[in-house]
Amino acid sequence: MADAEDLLLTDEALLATLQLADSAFPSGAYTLSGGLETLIEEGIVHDAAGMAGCVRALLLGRAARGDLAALVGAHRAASERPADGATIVAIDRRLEASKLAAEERQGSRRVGRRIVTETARLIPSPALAAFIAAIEGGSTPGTAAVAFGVAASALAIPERQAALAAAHAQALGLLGVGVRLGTIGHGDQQRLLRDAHPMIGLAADVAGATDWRILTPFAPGLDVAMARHETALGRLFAS
Amino acid sequence: MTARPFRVGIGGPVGSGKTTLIERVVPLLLEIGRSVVVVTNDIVTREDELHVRNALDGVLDGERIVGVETGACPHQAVREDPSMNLAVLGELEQRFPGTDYVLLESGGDNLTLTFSPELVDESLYVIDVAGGDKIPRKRGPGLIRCGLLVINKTDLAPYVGADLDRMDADSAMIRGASPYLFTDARAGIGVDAVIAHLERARASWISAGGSSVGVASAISRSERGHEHGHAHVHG
Repeated sequence: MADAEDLLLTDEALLATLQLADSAFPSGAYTLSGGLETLIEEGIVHDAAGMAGCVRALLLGRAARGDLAALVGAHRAASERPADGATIVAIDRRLEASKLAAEERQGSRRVGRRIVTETARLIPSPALAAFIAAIEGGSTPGTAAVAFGVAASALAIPERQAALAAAHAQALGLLGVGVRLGTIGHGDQQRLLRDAHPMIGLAADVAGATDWRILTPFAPGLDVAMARHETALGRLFAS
Repeated sequence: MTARPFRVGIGGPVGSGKTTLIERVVPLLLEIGRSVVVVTNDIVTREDELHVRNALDGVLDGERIVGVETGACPHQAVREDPSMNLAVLGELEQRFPGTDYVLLESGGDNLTLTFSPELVDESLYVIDVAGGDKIPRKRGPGLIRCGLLVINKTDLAPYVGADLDRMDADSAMIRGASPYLFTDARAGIGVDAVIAHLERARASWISAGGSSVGVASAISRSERGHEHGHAHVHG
């Protein structure tokens, strides 16, 4: 945990954080449900309590020891001078290898590519440019979390805030799926997001202390749902 | 550098005939020597993707027809955040170099639907007479801002009490100098005129330099910060 002084953001960093984590940022993440569409379709998740359980599984089971840990590692590597592109690629490949469901891998790749592309239009960054070149050259998948870490570094968003912002965006995105499928209303969405704040902080703590060489995401309920989603008849979402 | 294809968005309410129009347009484009890929944005299922694949079985390689899920947000997927469509377009354009046309069907939506100019070069908006002959008077941005307004299912007019003369007059009023036309896509009537419009629009897009940018990646020309070669043919 960082002390209060470290948490003070410059105006630029706060505004960049708000921009990158905004659901209006064109990352395409709103097309992914992370298996939630299947869980709702099959009646396993049908109310606010079920949605809270999904958010917990996402943040603490998967993200803290997977996506967010990779994000933090990528942010650190991208923030070195000069940036450590080889480590960014190594983290990226390792994170993708930890993703069991095909739709999670594909969704993460597509969102990741969009994040770096859109961020590159906002700010010049050698680390970002090198990562984009590696993605285009086919030597690295370009996962969403690593892309977010590299993009956040380029935008001068500190590591801790980048992890919090990414976790917030993931939780909000998942709750948005619940709203669009009619499982919860807009009020529940905000309440559940607020309830998730301690978990978001905890997820950032765990991510910051996790070695990216040992990623251990664990959310089998979501993984199986995503695998089942591939052959589902109703498909509003891409995962 | 490889030329990238001319991207055409096709929007309109559910059931207005977007899919049928695509199924009629594709064989005619192939006939005049154009190569085509189709991207569908189904709202709920892969129904449109599968329908187009069946209808064009033996005409267009099934690999050239791809569905994109829109997360219950059909307008967002072609307007505010067309990320997934851009990603799939990039993949298709890389996989099928030398393609002349991308036909991108939006999920059925309301009359406000417009396409991001960073996603498509030209757009068609399809309504049908059975949806009510007052639709043109509603002046939705979808109807007003598209490159070509297509009023489909003219064959149904007598059965639903739609006044085609009124739709014609109202369309002329809201469209100004921009083109609109009537079709009966199921019977193939009026589809030739749609092809003629697309060919004209593509020709002016090419002469404006639109196609002369490489597409070796999923990052589109406009995203690289180059000028946008948007070109409409009016009248």
